[in-house]
Amino acid sequence: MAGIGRFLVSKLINTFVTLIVAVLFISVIFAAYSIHEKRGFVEEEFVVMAKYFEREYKDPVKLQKALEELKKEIMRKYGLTGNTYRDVLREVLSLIKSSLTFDFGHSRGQYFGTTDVGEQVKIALRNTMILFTTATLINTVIGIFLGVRIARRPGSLADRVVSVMGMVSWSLPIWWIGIIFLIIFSFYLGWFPVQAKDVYIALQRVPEGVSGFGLFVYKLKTWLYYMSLPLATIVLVSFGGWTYVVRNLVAEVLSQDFVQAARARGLPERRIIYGHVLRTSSPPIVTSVALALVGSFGGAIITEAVFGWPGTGLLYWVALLNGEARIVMATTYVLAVVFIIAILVIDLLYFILDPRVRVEAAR
Amino acid sequence: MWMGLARSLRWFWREYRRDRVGVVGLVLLAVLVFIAVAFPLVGDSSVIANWNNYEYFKFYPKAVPPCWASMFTGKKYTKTVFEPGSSIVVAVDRGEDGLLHVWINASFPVTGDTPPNDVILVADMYYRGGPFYVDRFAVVRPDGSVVDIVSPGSRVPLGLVFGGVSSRSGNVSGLAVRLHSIVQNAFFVQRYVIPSLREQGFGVSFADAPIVSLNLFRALFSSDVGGVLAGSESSVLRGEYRWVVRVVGPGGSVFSFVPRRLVVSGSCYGVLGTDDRGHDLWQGFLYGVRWALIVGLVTSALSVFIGSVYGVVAGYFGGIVDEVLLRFAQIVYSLPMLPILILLAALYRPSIWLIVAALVVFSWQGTSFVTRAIALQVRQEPYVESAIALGAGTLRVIFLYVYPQVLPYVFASIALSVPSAIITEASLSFLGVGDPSVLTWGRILHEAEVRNAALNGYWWWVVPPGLGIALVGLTFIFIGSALDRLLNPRLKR
Repeated sequence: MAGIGRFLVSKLINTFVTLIVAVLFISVIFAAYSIHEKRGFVEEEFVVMAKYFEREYKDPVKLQKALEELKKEIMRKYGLTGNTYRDVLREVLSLIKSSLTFDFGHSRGQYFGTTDVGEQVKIALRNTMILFTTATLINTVIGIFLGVRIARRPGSLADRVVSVMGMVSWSLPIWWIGIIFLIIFSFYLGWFPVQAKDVYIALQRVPEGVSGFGLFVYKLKTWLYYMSLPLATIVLVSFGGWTYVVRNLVAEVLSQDFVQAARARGLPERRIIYGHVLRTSSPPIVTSVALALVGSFGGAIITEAVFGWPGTGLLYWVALLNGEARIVMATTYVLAVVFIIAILVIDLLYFILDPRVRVEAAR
Repeated sequence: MWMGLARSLRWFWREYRRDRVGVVGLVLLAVLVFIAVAFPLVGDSSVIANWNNYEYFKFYPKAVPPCWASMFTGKKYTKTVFEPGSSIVVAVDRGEDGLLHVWINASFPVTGDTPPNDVILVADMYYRGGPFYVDRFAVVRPDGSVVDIVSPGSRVPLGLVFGGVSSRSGNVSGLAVRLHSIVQNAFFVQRYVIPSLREQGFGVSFADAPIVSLNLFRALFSSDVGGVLAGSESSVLRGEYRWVVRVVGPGGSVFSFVPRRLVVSGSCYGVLGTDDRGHDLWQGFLYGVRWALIVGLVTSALSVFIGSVYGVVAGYFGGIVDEVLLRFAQIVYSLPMLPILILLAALYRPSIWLIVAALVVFSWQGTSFVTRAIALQVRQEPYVESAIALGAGTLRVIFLYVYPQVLPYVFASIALSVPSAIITEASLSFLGVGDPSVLTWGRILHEAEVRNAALNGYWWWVVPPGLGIALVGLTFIFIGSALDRLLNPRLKR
C-alpha cells in the first residue's frame, strides 16, 4: 500500500508544481504588462502636470526639484517604485493574493450584469462546465456504444464513415462548424435561437401560474432550447474522433486470446464485450478520451463565443473586443487551474481503472 | 552511402505511390504550395496589399454573394463589371454654335434580376476657361428608349453633376461620378430631373421629389419606368445600357476628360463575393493558403524537431536527466495552451512569428514522450553499445545512431501536427488577437464574426476560410497517415 501512497503523492506533487508554474507564468506576463501600462499612465499624467508646474515656478532649480517630487508623487499613486524587478515582483505577489481570494478587481464595463471580474468568471465558468460536461457525457456514451459496435465489424460502412469523420474533425475548427450551423439552423431554418445568451431573459419570462415542478420543467426546457445548438455542434464534431479511438482500442483487445477463451466458454456476447473487453480496454480509453477532451477544450470555448453561450469563451470574446485585460487574465487564471486539476482527476481515474498501474506502483 | 540513400529514396517512393490516400495528399499539397508560391500570378497582390485601405475597395459592391450562387438561389444577379477606361467613348467637337461640346458615352451591361447598386465613372479631368455646363444627361436603355435625366438644352452647372468640382476650371484626378448619388441629390432632382421627366410624359409632380429620389435609379433599369417612379414594382430590363453625358463650354475653353474605368457595382461579385467593406474574398481565400502553410509547417517542423531531440536526449541518458527532463515536459504539457496564448496575445499583440514561436513552446512535448520511449529501447541495442565501446562521442551516438531510429516517427508526426497548429493560430486570429498586419483565414473569420456575417446569412464570407483550414489540415493528415503506415510498419493493421 505504501507504493500506492507514493504514486499518489508524486502525482499530487506534479500537479502542485504545474499549478505553481501556471500561476507564476500568468502572473508574470500580466504583471509585466500592467507595469508597462501604469508607466504609460504616469508619463501621461506627468506631462500634463509638468506644463502646469512650468508656469508656476520661474526658478529652474526649484522647478527641477518640484518636477522630481511630482514624478515620485504620481508613481507612488500608481504603486510604482521605478525599479522594474521590484515593481513586477510586487504586482505578481498581489496578483497571486487576489487569485487565492478570487478577488480580481473590477472591469470598466458591465458584463454578465456585474463589474466584479471574479463574479463574471464564476458565472462564465459555471456555464462552460454545464455545456462542456454535458457534451462530454453525450460523447462518451455515443463513443463507447458506437465504438464497440463498429469494432466488431471492421471494414463495414459505419466503420469507414466514422474513421472519415474522425479525420475530418481533426482538421476542422469546432467553432467554424458552429458558425455554419448558426447560418443553416438559425438563419435559414430558424429552428434555434441566434444568441444563446438570451437564455437569461427567456428564463425570467416564466408564464403565469407556473410553479413547483412545472417551473422546473419550464426552466429545463428553456435551458435545453438555448443550449441545444452549441451542444449539438460540439458533439457532432468530436464524436467521430472519440468513436474512432474506442473502436481501435476495443478491436485490439477483441483479437486477444482471452476473448476467444471467453467465447469458447460460452459466455453471452454482451457479457464478453461489456464485462471483459471493455474492462480491459478502459484504461487506454480513459487516457485517449482525456486527450481528446483536452484537445477539444480550446475549440469548445471559442464555440461559446460564436453562439453567444454565456461561458468563458463569450467572456473572452467580449473582454478582447473591449480591451479588458483584467478579465482576460482572470479567465485564463481560472481556466488554467480547472484544466490542471481536471488532468489530475483523469490521472487518478486511470489509476483506479488499471490494475497494472496499482501493482507497478506498489512494487 | 549516397547510393544507399538514393536507393532507399527510390524504394520509399515506390512504396508511397501505392498508398492512394497518400498520393491524394501529395497532389493536394502540390496544388496548395503552387497557390502559395505563385500567388502574385494566380491572385491579385494589390488587393491584399490594400486590405486595410478603405479607399481601395470603395467601388466594390458590399456584402454581395458570388455570381455562381444564382444556381442555388434561383435569382439572377447583376454581375459586377470593371470596364477599362478605353471602353468609354469621349468625343470633343466644336459645334456650329462655336461652343465646345464634350460627349461622354459609357456603355455597360445589366445582367440580372436586380438593378446594379451603382454605376460609377472614374476619370481624370482637366479643364479651364469655363464656365462649363452639362446640357445632356441621359440613359439609353436596351430597348432603345431614352430616359433624359436632364432635358437636352438645359444648363446644369458642371459641379452639380461631377461631385462638387468647380464649374470654371480645375485639375481633378480620380474623380468618381456616381450615377446613384447624382439622382439622389434632392436639389438636382427638384430643379432639373422632375421638369425633364414631366417633359417626357411621366406623371410626376414637384411634390413627389423624395419618392423620385428614392426610385429613380431603380426605375432607370426596370422595364416599366413610369410605374416604378410612381412606387410600384417591376422587373429589371436586362441588356446593354448607355450612359450619355454632354458637357458644354465656351468656345475658347479647354476640357480634357480621360476616363479610367467604369464600374457597374452589381449584386454579385467574382468567385467568392465580397464582405461588407467590399473586400474581394476570393483573393483573401487564395492568399490565406500561404500563411496557413507557413504557420502549420514551421510550427510543426520546429516543435517536432525540438521535441524529438529533447526526448531522445532524455531517453538516451536516462536516470536523473531523464527524470528531470520528463517532469519538465509533463509540466509544460499540463498547461492549457489556448487560454495562455490568448492572454499573451491579448497583452502583447505579437507578430505572426512570435505567435508561431509561442505555439512551438506549447506543442513540442507530445513528440518528446514518444521519442523518449523509443530512445530508451534503442540505447540497449548492441550496435549502440558497441559504438560506445569503440569510443564514439556522445553527440555522435545520439545523432548518428539513436536519432535516425526516431526519424520515421518524426516525419509522420510533422505532417500530423500541422492541422492543430493551423487551427490554434486561426483560433487566436478569430478572437482578434492575431497579427493584425497579416491576412489569415482566421482573421477573415474574425471580421465576419464581428460584423455578424452569420446572423445576416453571408455564407460566402464564412464558409471558404473554414473549408480552407480543413483542406490544408486534411492534406497533411493524408500525407501523415500514409507516412505512418509506410514508415512504422509495426502499427500496420
